[in-house]
Amino acid sequence: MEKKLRMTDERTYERCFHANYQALCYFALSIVSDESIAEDAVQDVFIRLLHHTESFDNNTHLRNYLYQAVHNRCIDLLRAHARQVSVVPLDCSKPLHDQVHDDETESKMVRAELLRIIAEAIDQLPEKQREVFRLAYIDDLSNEEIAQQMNLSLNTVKVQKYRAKQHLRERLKDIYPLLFIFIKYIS
Amino acid sequence: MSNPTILAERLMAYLKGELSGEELREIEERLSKDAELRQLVDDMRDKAYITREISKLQSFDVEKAWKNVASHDEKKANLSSPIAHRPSHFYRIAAAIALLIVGGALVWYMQYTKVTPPEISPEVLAAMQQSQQSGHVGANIENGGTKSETQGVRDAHQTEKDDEGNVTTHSPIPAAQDQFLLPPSISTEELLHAKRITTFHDKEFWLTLDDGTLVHLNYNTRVIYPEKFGRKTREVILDGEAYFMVAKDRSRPFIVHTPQGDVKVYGTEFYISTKADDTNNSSTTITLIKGSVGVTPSGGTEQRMLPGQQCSIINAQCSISATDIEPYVAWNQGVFVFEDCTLERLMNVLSQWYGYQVVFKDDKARRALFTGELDKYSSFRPVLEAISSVTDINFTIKENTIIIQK
Repeated sequence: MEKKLRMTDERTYERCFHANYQALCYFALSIVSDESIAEDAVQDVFIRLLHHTESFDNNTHLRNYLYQAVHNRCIDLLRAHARQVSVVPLDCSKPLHDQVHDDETESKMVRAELLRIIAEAIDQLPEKQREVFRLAYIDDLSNEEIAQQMNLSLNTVKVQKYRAKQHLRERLKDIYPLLFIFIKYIS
Repeated sequence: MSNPTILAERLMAYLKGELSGEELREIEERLSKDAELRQLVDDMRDKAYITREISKLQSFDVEKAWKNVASHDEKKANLSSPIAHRPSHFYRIAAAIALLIVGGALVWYMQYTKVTPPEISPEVLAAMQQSQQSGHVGANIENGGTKSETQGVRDAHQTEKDDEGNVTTHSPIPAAQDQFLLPPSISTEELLHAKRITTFHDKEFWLTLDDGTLVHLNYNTRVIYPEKFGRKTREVILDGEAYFMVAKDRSRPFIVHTPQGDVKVYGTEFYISTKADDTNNSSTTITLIKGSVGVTPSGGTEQRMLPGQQCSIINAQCSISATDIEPYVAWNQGVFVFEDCTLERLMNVLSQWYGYQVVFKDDKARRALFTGELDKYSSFRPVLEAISSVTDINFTIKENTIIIQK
């Protein structure tokens, strides 16, 4: 039973922002190859979204819209950049989600979406575990280095790692082989 | 119409091997036609790739971006005061989850008021029945220290013939009242309204609490518990030995108070013993079988435990080590499991359980080592016979005493 999502509701809007910002930036980056342009594009889309009065049926509907909107905004910014135009007006009256079909684009969207799901699972780990997880598997620190950085005992680091893995296993049950590989790397 | 979200979902299912039939054919066909997607699937199977890309994804500063966007529209002034967020750059929590973590345990708990009784395995049920039938169940139940009733099997089941043909009967031996300690954290006021159950010297008991939690008490054990648990917590007092199978109720943590400290239950099965160990130093030992508990020694801080660990509270300190949980699980299921156990120790357990005295006429016999399993609910005679047959140790039973000699 999914409630419709209205962007005029502040909490919905904020939740939407926090849930999707990074993945959308990642996607935008794959089009524009420049972090600041990528972030500008995504932020522009969200600003535009504030005025979006129609509601979305569900997260799928919302995300598809966002990916398309970010894509279109990226193209606009790239063109402007090529023409050496410094300011690209954001016309709030024009719809941003006109369909532009491109196989490459779609696979980029799917890629970003897959990574978003994984990142979300990591984010939902309890704080300490998440920190240890990040240091261990993303920053690639040794147990000793983590212990030092977080001021924890070596045993605690091991326990937190173990728990993070357990949690992720639970949370990402639905992408098991992926996780399995991931986890193998971890252990 | 482009639907990357659904496609991503399908690919996840594909990667995990969950697709079959029509759906699987569809994806495979799609992949065979789309080189980009094929590459994507390969990348997603590359662990190093995932770590790199997640890193990239999380390098975008959400907080800063939010401030930017929120301040952009004066009309929506509320947006500039977001719901509590973590200060860290790399991770953001969705608002709902932030509430969860930021001291939000109660909020989380409030959403889950359903109580699920513990899963009792068929082995445990069988053990409960056997125990009852073989006359090993017996305890005194008192209400707030006033009226007392005895539960369990009558004496008649406890007759045994000794070697000279004399019949002896065992009366259930009530545990000595003054030997039980009370944890410092409980007020006498609360005790007056609670129920108190004490197992006999040589009997066990299964107690079902208000929420469905099943507590398997060993001999000489006292549990003080309320007839009905309160709204915020489920608390009991234990002195002795018991195996807990706790009902799931996320709105109310389950806490066991012992003379040495408290055990807070986050999960399901564990064993607690407050008895003095062999060296007669007062200590409480908690063995975690399943789930999760936190142990707070009196005056100390909470330490969490993992299944397969044992925590000993000695002098208000927690000492956690890995242990074999099999003997405890087995005990709960009606079997004594012992490994490299001295005959002295073994006889201690058996004598207590079966209510016999033990006399060693030969000191060497004390130190003989045994490994094996014993059914708690059958007679111990076959065991003694078994031991005799493989060693040169002899057992003689005279009235209530087992005499051991070589």
